Amino acid sequence: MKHQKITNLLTVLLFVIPLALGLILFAALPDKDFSEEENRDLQTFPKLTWKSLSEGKFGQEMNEYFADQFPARDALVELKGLSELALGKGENNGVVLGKDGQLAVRWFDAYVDRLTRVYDTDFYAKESIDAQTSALNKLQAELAEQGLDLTVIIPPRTLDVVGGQTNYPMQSTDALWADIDAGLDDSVSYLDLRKIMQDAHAGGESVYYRTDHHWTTEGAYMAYCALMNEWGKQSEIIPESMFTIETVEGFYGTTWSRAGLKFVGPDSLEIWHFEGEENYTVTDWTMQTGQNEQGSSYIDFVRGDSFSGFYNREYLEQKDKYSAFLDGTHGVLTVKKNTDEQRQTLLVLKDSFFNSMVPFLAQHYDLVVINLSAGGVKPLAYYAEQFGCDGVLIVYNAENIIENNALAGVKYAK
Amino acid sequence: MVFSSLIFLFAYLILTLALYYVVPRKWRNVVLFVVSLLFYGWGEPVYIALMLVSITVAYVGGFFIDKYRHTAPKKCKAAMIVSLALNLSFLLFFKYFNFTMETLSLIPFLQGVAKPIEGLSLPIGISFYTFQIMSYTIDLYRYETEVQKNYIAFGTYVTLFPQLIAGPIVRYRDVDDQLMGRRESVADFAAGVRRFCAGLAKKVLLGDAAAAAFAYFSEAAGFEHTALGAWMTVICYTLHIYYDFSGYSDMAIGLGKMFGFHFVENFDYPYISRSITEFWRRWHITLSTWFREYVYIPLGGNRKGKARQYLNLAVVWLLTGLWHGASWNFVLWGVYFLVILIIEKAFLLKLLDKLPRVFAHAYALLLIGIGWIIFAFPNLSEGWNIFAGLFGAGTVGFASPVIVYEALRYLPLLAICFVGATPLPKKMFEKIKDKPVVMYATPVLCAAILVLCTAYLVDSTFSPFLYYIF
Repeated sequence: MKHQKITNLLTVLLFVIPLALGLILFAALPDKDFSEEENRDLQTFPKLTWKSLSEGKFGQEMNEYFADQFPARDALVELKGLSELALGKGENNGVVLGKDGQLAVRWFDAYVDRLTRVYDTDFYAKESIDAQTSALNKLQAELAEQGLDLTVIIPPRTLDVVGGQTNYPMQSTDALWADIDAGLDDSVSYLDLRKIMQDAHAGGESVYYRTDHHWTTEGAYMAYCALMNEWGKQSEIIPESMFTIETVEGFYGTTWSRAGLKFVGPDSLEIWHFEGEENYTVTDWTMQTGQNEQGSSYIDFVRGDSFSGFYNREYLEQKDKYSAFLDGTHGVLTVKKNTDEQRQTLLVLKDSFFNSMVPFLAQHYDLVVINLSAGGVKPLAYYAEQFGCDGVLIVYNAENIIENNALAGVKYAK
Repeated sequence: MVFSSLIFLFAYLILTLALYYVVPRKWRNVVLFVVSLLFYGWGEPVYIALMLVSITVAYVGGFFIDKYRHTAPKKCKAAMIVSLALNLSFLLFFKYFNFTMETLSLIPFLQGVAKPIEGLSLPIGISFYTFQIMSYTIDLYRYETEVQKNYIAFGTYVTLFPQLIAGPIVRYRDVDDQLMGRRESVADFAAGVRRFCAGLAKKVLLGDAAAAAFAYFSEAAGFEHTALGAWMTVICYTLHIYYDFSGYSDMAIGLGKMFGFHFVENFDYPYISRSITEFWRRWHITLSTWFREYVYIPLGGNRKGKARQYLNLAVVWLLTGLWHGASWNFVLWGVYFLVILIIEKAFLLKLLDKLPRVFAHAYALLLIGIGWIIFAFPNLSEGWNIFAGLFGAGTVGFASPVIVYEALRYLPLLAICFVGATPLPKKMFEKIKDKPVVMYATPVLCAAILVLCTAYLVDSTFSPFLYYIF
């Protein structure tokens, strides 16, 4: 059997050569410290110590080192994504692929309690949602006593907005919104933006990115308009025509990274400039807690860096372009207009969705921007004492409501 | 280390192959012994010491069994007993000590006395290699094999990385002559590559996907319990454990062939069985064989009357359950099969033979699936919840939109898994494999599988083996 001999040899060679090639390339190519695509540090060659070896840590880190630095990693990730589609799964890594390359994360990690978290699921813990809505009800009552208004925006997830145009059954996302609705008292001024966003998306407007989990600047503007309407300030809304739109091409967002469906093209990211935006100052504050001589605890806010305008343009050169809005993640920021005129101060408990709304809202209010998703938020009275407070706004998106319970801990009194 | 990891494929395996074939033949066992210890110690190096002690005990024990065989039968027997007792005690201690203590501490006056040891972790593969070591000692004592005087050769037998951590459980006498006198060949190597790639695909492309689906559906039951979800949980676990474990055995057998070893088969299409009796002749064959040969038959098997036979069966199935894990659900799992097997022996097998085949298949698959529920959930009430859900009890309905959506998404994969669990693909391949086109396509297919599996491994760094912990 001549064929048999040749094909046997071929079998061996086609097995051994790719393995050897993989090893050689792995050894020859330089290591990367950071993956922009995945937005995380990569494992570099682990330190070999007696301790790390005997505890098995070295072996574990070597495994990670291999996976993280593997040659052609991006191409292989793409191959996996394509083969999942070929298998008829219709999605990859919990990301639904809709029309025109619209991506939407479908799986989230449900926060159940402090010790329990269910990964990659369509479901959420109703108890956790109830705890958060009842905390908001209490906060509303507390603020009413102080004579302060509370407004709550829960930005929908991409799936809530675009899911209707995919095969995904929207009944399961509707249930979440019904629970939020039912949990909030009528006295809470709560804006459900789903209808507005769904209609705009169905009408062909780009209100949510195709490749990122955030709303677009257009979407943020619509949220701003809805908010001004809610407050009865329609007449003060700054019309679209007052803005000069700068378009930044080539934005590949977080959903795109997770999906591994690399044939999906990039988004463009818009920055809506207006005249005089350089007259606004964004300042970072660090919270310091301590105890005074009487033994009661206090909180100090220490002024940090500040910049004018709303953008850190360095991010526009990188993959993580959305972080250009308000310089990405900060614990506490203030946004003030450099002026002598009397302006009201709005305390905002928020996640990153709010960052792209800031340039609109800052034209009406001084803002104290408190990042809720980072945790460690203190009773609001501390912030009000330091910065002043004429009203409270919450902008915290549905993904965070499912994945953590930060809202459940929000209160005013110290 | 696990086979389905990048570091195994692209560093360990390729370097081991290179080293193995570069050194002169007489050094090859040394190479295998050393690299196998490295393979074993990758996660927990301290247990290499335990492994060496186990090997040495059996080696020295074997030496004395052989030495006193004709001169001092009592000493010979003592050597056998000491060797077995020591090796068994390692297994009992590491695997069952904490389980025993936790169980004892449930007895009121033993509370506080019976304390589990914290941080006692199970040495990988101890259940597998202890059984291999014991097969040597027992077979030697029974004149069924020769003494192995070469420590390296014996150590190679025990540590041989292809079957070290998850079987097949190779009896010493089955590889005895291969240890010293095996001949590697290109034909064997190629057959090994084909087998390894098939196993890798089964594990990475099918087993892991079924595992992800199982995780989804079993978690979903905690939020929205539906009958369809319960069925999907059982079906996905049934497929997951088969593709995971038999894929591993395929890889082990394939790797063995690359180094010139011929291991026995471990699976024979278990899901086409028409009774549970048949299932256990087709599932994890080397374990069943081991228990039959070293427990059931020595206890008298079926030669000492019906009552004694049932007792012997009870011992074997209690041990089989416990072997799979130190937890009560595994005990229940063993008892479950014991009861079914006794009923089948008593009358059911004859009845099943007369029934149309489709009923017998349905009967066997249903009982196998229910068995996997007991197996999969250490928490019995969680398992009960899924079981009841199969019949709609405690559910919110037959299905919910999102469960239907998810089930449909997995349909093509499940179809592949169903067909792949029957002999059909192999039969079809056997028919065409001698055509030149197919002959030349096969190596390319193997390479393609390797690349595709690499892609899956790169995408998900985390891919532990299910049978790793036993």
